[in-house]
Amino acid sequence: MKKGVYIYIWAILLSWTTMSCEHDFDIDVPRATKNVVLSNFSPDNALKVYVSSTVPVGEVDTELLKYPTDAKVALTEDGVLIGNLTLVEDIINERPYYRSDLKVQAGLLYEIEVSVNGKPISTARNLVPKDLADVNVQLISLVEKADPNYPEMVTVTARVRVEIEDYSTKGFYYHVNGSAYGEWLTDLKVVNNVDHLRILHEDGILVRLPDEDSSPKFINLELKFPYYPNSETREPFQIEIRNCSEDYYLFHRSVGEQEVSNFRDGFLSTQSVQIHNNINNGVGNFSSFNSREFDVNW
Amino acid sequence: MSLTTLIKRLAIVKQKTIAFLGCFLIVLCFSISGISQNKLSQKVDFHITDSPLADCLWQLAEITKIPVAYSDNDLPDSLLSFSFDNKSIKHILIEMLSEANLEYNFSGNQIVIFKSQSFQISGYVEDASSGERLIGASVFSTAVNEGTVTNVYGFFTIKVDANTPTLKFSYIGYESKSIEASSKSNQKFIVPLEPNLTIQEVVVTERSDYDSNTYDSFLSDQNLAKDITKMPALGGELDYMRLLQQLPGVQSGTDGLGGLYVRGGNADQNLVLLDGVPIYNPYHALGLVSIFDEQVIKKVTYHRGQFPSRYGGMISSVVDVRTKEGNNKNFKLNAGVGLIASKIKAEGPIAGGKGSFLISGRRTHIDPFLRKFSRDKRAEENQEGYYDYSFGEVMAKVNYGISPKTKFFLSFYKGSDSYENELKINEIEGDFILKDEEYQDLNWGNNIGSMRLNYQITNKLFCNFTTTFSKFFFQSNENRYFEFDDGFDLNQQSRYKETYFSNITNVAFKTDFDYVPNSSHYFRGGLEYSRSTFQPGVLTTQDSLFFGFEQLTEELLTGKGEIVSEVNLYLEDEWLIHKNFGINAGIYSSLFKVEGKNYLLLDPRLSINWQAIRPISFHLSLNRLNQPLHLLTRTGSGFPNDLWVPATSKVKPQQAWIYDLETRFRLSKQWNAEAHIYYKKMNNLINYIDGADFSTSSNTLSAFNWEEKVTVGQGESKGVELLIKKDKGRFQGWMSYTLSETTRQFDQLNGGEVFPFRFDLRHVFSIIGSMDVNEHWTLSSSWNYRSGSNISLAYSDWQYIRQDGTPDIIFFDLEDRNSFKLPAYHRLDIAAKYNKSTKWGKWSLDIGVYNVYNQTNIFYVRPEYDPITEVQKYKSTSLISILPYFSFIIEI
Repeated sequence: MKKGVYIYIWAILLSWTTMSCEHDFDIDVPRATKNVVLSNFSPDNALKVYVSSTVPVGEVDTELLKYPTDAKVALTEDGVLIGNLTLVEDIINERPYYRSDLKVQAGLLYEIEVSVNGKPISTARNLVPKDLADVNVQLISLVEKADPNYPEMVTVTARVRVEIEDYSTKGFYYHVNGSAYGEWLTDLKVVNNVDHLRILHEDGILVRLPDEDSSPKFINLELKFPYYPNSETREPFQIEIRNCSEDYYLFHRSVGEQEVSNFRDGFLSTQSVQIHNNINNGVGNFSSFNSREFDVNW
Repeated sequence: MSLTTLIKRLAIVKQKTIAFLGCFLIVLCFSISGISQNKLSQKVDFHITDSPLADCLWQLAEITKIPVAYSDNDLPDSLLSFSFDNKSIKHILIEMLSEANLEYNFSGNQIVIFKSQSFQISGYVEDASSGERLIGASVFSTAVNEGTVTNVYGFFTIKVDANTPTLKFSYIGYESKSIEASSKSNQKFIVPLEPNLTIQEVVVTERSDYDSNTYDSFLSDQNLAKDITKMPALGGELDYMRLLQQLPGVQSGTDGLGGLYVRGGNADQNLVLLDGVPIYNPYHALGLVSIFDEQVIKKVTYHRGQFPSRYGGMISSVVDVRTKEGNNKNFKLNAGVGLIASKIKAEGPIAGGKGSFLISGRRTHIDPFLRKFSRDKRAEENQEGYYDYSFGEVMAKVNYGISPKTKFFLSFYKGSDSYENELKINEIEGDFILKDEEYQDLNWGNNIGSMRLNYQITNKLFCNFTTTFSKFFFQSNENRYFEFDDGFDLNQQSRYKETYFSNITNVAFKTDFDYVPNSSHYFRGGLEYSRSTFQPGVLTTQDSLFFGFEQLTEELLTGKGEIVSEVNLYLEDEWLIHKNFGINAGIYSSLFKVEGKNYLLLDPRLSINWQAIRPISFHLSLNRLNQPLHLLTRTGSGFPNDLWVPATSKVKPQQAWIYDLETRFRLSKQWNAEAHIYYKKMNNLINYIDGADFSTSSNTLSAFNWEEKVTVGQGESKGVELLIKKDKGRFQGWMSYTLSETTRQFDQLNGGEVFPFRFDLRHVFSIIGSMDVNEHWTLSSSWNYRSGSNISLAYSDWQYIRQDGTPDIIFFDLEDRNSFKLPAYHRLDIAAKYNKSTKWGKWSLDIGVYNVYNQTNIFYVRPEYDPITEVQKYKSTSLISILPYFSFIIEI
C-alpha cells in the first residue's frame, strides 16, 4: 500500500477515537414531591411557618409553585400542644403562611406537625437559644474618607469588636448583621480568623466560633457606609447579633454554600451541597434564634 | 604417652581411617570421662589468613589444646581467612565450618568434624536467554519435600539433603530443570531456565506441596506478565493496572478512569511500587493508561488480603511492579507502534556480561492530529486556537556484578503528561478592537530514581541497601488577555495570570534482609528512613487591570511546604510449623513526625495457612494498616490535580483492619479456584465538606488551611470474591465475581448518616479468555459487568422564602449522598495477535476492538438546560464507544 493510504487509515481511526469520546443521553430520576416547611422563629416575633411543595427537578416555575392553604400546622411547647397555626394570605408577596401569636421563649423546645392532603405528616422540633447577655460591642477604629468624585459624600470605614462573655468551650453559632441610616450594610466583613460565610439569600454573615480554647472568642467586623455630612447628623450604626440554634446555622450555611456552588459549577451540579434538613418527611428548616441589636456611636 | 597427646597427634595426621578412629576414641572418652561441653565456651583470640581449612583447624587445636579429628576428603581446598578476638571456640567453629557444609561434635575432650547430612545452598535463578533474574521461581528439593521461591532479585536459599541433592527449578513460561546440587557449588550457583515457547506444556506439580505457605492467591502470587497477554488492549497498550481491574475485589471508574478502588478503599490507598520506589500517581491520561510500559515489566505482584509486613504505608492494596534489568547475554532492540503511542527499548550486556543496561521510551503520537483537528474545528466557529494532549516517558537502568555475591543497580524514570489549550478571538474593524486570548497548559508526571546494592553475606543471609527518590508534580498555567476599544472613549485592557502547582517529593534510605536459618523459617526485615516534602499547592494570581489610568496587581494566595520524616521498621517470619501448616507473622512499625507531633504506628500482620488435604487449602489473614497520607479530592477519582497531604496533629493517619478468609481449590492440573470472604474497617478517612475544595476562598480561611475544609469519618466494606482460572493448555483464562457492600460515614456529610461509597458496586463480574489457534495466531476476548456506581442527584426543586417574606430563588433538594445508582457498566473487547519469527528477529501484530457492541457506559452526569422545552435535565456522557485499534512490534 502507498504511504498515503496508511496515513488515511490512521486519520480515520483517530477521528473515530475523538468522536467516540462523548455521547450524550438522558438520565431519568424519580418524580415524587415532598412538603417544604420553612420557619425561623425568635422570642421577638410571631411564629410564621411557610408550607409549600417540591416540584420535580427541572420543572420549576415560580408562578406555578403550590402553597397549600388547607394545611394543618400544629404547635407544641415542651411536648404540650399549644394549638394550630392560622393561615395568613400575604397579598404583597403572594405566598401564604401559617402564623401563631404565641411568643416563643428562650430555652424551650418547640415542635410542629404539618399535615397536607396526600402527603405524609411532616414534623420538626427546635430549641430556642438562650438570651444574648454579656455581649460587648466596641468600636476599635474609624476612618472617614472623602470621595473625590462625590464631594458631598464621605465613606465611613469602621472596625468593631464583638466580644461574647458567656462563650463556652462548646462553641456557638451566630448570624451577624449591621445597618446604618436605616439601610442594611452590604459592605460588612469579618476580619479575624474565625469560620464564617457571607450569605446571599439573607443579609449578614454566619459565624461559628470554634471550640478550641486557644481560638479567638470574639468577632472583628469591618463595615463601610456612606455619610453625607452636609445633610445628615452622626447617627449611631447598628450591629445585630443573633444567637442561632445549630439547625439555623447549618441550614443557612448550606443554603449559602449551595448558592455559591450553583453559581460556580452550574445549577444542579452533581458535586453540589446538600442542604441541611431537619424536617421529617419533608425538606426545609424549622429553627430558632435569639437576637440583640447594639447601637455603636461614632 | 598420654591419651590427650595421642589424640592430638591423630588430629594432625590427615588420614580418613585415623579420623574414624578418632571418632571412636571420642565416644570412648565420652563414656569414660564425661567431660562437659562447657570447654567450648572458652574464649580465645584466633587469626589466620589465606590458609586451607585443614590448617585452620590445626591451628585452632594448637591454640585451644583441644584435639580435632576430621576426614581430609570432606574439607575444601580453598584458602580461608579468619580473625576472631575474644570469641568462644563454639562460635569460631560455626563460622569456620558453615561455608564448607561441615558440622562438628564435641565428646569427651575431642572435636570431631564431619560432613553434614544436609547442606544449605543459595543462588540465583535466571532466564537463560537474557540473564534476567526470575522473581518467584520455584525451587524444590524432592528428597526432603520442601521448597522455596526466589525473592525479588532472583535469589534463593534452601536446605538440601546431602544424599539426594536433587533440586527442581520451575517457573511459569520456562522449562523446568533438575540439578544435582553440591555443597561446593555455593560460590556462584546460578540456574538458567530456558523460556518455554509452548506455554501450555509447563507443569508445576510441586507447587501444591507448599502453596499453603506462599502469600497470596493464584493470580496475585504469579507473574501477571503472563496473564496480561490474554487481555485485549485499549488502544494497543497492554496495561497492568487495567489487568488488575479485572481481578476480584477491584473496582474502577468508567473505562478504567480514576485508578483502583480495592475492597471499598479510595484510589489513594494503594501502595504502588516501581522497583521498590513509591509512585504517587501511576497513570497517564487520567487513568486510561498506566505509567508501566508492558515491554519493560518483569513481574507484578498484587496483595489485597494478605499483607506481608514488608509492605506498609497504604491501607488497601499493594501493587509491586518489578522491571527488567536488561539482557546480559545479547544486545536486543524492540520497537513498536500502536494507535496512540510508539515505543522503543534497547538492552544489552556491559563489562563482558558482568552487568547489563536497559533503556526504554514511550510517547503518544496523537497530539499533531489533535492539534490539527481542534484548530480546524475552531476555525469553523470563527475562532483561532487548538488543544492537544500527549504523554511520554523514558526509563534507564544499569546493573553491574561487582562480585558473585554483590551487585549494584541504578535506575531512573521520568514521565509526564501535557495538555495545552489556546483560544483566540480577534475582531478589529477600524478603531473597534475586541481581543480575547486565552492560553492554558497543564503538566504533571513522575520523576523517580533509585540506587541499590545487593549483597549475599552468607548462604542464609541476603541484604539489600537502597536509596530512592520519587517526585510527583502537577502544574497549571493560565494566561488571559482581554482588550476592548469601542473606537471612542471606552477602552479596557486586562491581563490575568494564574499559576498553580503542587508536588510531593520523597527521599528514602533503606536496608532489607532475607535470612533463612533453616527450612522452617524465612525471616525478612528492614529499616527505612524517609523524608517527604509536601507542597499542597501554591496558587498565585496576578491581576493587572488597565482601565483608563488605573492599574491593579494582586497576589491572592500563597502556600508553604510541609516536611515529614518517617522511620519505618519491619520484621516478618514465614514459619512452616508443619508440612501442611504454617504462619506468616510480623509487624510493620512507623515513627512519623509532622508539625512537631510524633505518631508511632504499629501494624501487626498475621496469616495462617493450612493445607487441609492436597487440593484444598485455607488461609486466614488479620492485618492492621496505617497510612500517614491523605488525598484531597473533590471528584474522588484520583485525578492529577488532587492534592497529597500528610496526616497532621488534627487529622490522624488513615487506618484499616482487614480480615480475610481464603480457600483455594486445585480442581485439576489445569483448573484452579479460590474464594475469599473479607471484612474491612477504615478509620480516619477524610472528605471535603460540602461545597469546599482546595481553592475555595469564599471565607477568610486560607485556601491552604485544608484541615478546616475536611471532615473525618470511617468506612466499611465486606464481600465475597470468587475466581476460577485455567492457566494451562491452548485455552486459558479466568472468570471472577465479587459481591460486596461498602459504606462511608462522616459527621459533616449526609447529616452524619451512613451512605454508600461512590464505588459501592454490588456485583462485579469479568471473564477473560485466550486461545492459541496455532503457533502464530492467538485470539482473546474479555467481558466485564459491574453494577452502576453511586452519585448524588437532586430529584426536586423548592423555593426559599426570605425571613421578611420575600420569595427568593430556587434551590434544589439534593437527595441522600450517593443515593442515585447509575445503570450497570458492561463491555466486550476482542483481539487477535499474530506472532512471526524470522531470521533477524520476530514481530507481532495486535488488532482488536474495544467495546465491541458499542455500549454507552456513563462517564459522568451533568445538568443541561433545554432552550426549547425550557427545562433543566440531567444528561450523561459516555467516554469510549466502539474503538478499533492495532499495535505492531518488532524485536531484533
